[in-house]
Amino acid sequence: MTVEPIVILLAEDDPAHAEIVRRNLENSRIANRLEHVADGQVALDYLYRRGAFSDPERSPRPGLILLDLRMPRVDGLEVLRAVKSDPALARIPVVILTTSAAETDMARAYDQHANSYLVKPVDFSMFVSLMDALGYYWLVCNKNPNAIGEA
Amino acid sequence: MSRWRRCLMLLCCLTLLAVATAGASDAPQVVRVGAFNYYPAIFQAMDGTVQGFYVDLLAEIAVQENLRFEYVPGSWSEGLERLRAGEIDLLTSVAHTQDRAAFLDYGQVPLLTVWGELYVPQDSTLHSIQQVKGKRIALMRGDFNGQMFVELVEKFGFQCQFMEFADFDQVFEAVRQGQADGGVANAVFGAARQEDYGLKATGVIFNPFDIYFAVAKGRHGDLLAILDHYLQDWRGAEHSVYQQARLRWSRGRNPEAAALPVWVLQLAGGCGLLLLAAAGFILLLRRQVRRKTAALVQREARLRESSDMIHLLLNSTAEAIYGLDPAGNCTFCNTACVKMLGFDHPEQLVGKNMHHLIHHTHADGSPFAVQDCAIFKGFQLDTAMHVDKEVLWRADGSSFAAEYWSYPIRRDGQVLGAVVTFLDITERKRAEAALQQKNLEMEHFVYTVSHDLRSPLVTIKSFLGLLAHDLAANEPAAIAADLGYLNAAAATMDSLLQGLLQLSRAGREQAPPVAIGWQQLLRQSLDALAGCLLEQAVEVRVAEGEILLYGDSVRLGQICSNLIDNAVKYRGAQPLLLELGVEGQGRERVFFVRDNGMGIAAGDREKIFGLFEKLDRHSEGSGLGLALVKKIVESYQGRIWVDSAGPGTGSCFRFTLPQALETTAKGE
Repeated sequence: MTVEPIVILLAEDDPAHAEIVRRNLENSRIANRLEHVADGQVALDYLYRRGAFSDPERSPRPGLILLDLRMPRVDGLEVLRAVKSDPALARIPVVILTTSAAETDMARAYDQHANSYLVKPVDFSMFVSLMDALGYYWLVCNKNPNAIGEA
Repeated sequence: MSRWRRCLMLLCCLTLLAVATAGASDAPQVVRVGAFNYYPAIFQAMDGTVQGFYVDLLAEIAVQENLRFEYVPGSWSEGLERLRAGEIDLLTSVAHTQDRAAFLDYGQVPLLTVWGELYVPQDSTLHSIQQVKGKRIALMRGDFNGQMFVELVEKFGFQCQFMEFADFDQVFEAVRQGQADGGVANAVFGAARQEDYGLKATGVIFNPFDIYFAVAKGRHGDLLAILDHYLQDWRGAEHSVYQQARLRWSRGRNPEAAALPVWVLQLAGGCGLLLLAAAGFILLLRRQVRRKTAALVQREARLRESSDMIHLLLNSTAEAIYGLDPAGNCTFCNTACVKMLGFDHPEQLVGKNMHHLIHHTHADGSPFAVQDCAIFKGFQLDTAMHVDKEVLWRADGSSFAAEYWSYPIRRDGQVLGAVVTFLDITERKRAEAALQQKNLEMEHFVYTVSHDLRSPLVTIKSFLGLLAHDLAANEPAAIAADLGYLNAAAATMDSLLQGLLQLSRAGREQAPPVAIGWQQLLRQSLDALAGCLLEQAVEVRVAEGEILLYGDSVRLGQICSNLIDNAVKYRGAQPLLLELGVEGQGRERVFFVRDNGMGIAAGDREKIFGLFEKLDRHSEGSGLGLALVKKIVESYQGRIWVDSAGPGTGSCFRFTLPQALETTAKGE
């Protein structure tokens, strides 16, 4: 039985930040598939395979969600709540990736069962090492039941 | 003294009158009395009537016994002769001699006890029997006293020149005129008349004897018995007719009283001294009393002054103050206290239980037990208390946030009560709440700003790193993309900073307020956006109706231009229709900017006015436009809200500007 490479869902409204994440992951030689959605609404559409995301081949269930908090329409916390309250999605690790270092945001995220909370570093090299560590930990070390054998 | 004497006399007269009237039916028996001048016992007055002490006595007896006394005036010796001759029935003042006893009958009870005395002019030095040697001495003819004096002088073997006169008055007159050096008289007469003649008693006293009523021998024994009977009754009895008549006629100079014993004089002297000492003592006391009174008055004045000062201080302080007794009842309160609690008079508080009156209920309406009251606890623990989280209740049932202090009053280690001071801190609480709200807003602002400014900064730093990477790899397409991201991030930062600057200014009054028309504001805003509106082929409909606004024209303009700009940004796919106008009347006029654009979901209608809120990440702008509009509207005491049926149905922003309208009304 071959192990499918983990699909990463990145919900990020700032295209520049999405590009930074994508390129840093590439540079870390993490070749996993990255699906980028521009806001919370699209993220939920993707997860529930609505509209353009109805084809499971083209829009596979992610093994890791990178979630920005402040997004238009449906913000990151609402997406988190939806994921964690749905038994079908609840086991997907959700890593909050945001510019906000506010304690209230961290608290709310953990209250909604976020698996990790990361603050985007201003410093480029820090951002690079963060993406290295993130990839290594969540995609290599971390074991997750949902990551196995979804067809 | 003289008053009651007069009253008694009057009583006597009335009695006499009554008896006289009663006895008028029987003709009274007439008794003829020999009258001679023997003042004040019996004498003929200027008007010819016979008066005197004896006359009064006989008049009283006459009334009692139905007698009538007729007086026959004449000298003493003539009287004796007339009695002997039977021309009269009764003679008064007759001394007992053997000669007279031959032809007279005497009464048993003496009429008077008298003695003879020698009287001389007041400037005379004659005061002893030895000095009468060779002097001229006046006597009354036939007077028993005169006879006794002559015998006395003879016994001493002195030679004197004796001169005889008809009565005592003539004797005294002779002495007064200097015809005689001295005169002998009955002491009763002398005491009564000596001053009238300018004479004085010498103290040469001789032969005290009794004088009696006398009648012709063998006749009128019954009359003598009657007279004796009355004299017997009267002489011993105080305030009797006899005593009163005697007092009246001697003018208070009773010869018996004149010869007062020495101890009486000494006693009188002693009394005088005592009186003097008492007077001195009284004077001293009075001075002491005056001094003490002055000191008391001064102390009272000082007390009043200090009490006035305390009152003034109490009533001029802004803090409310009241006193409590150990039972928690009000003992006093100042003006600020009465006023703050909404009463009219201190009397409405004094004596009342203050906890039950003003502290009975918590702010949330639940009852406030006295056991939980800090003032009450202060009493028990004997400690000062300070509370600023409770309310006090006014007379009208309303309450106010209060800060109070309670201090126990002790004397000799015992708590006698407490003084409570309090302040109405409604304003302070309101300011505190407003400040708290402002702090929350500020916190949110700082958080939002730091987050939203950080975001483009992350982009810039990261793409600088990526750019270096791409430059090294010499990938022109990637380099161009990196520069594009860098440019956009820098523009976002610039836009954010501009927006923040505008926002911080919006809260403060900038230009002095001016009057500006609503239509003019709209025109200016539409003109500024003309290029954009034209490019997007926006149809603009401005409703008629001019309203004058008063305020900062730039800020008011920003409301319009931001709302129009917003509508253009979130226009959607269809051609945009913009409608601008005013609804309603007066202070509650509502301005509106309506579009047929994207519309807003119900959950976002509040959020869009927050900082950096954008419903579409890809739209232009900083996300500060509506926050700025809200701030300006609120600075005019207005509010702003958005109505929309939902996404795709267009939206209508409505706002009020009461202060801009109100000031207009005033300005016009």
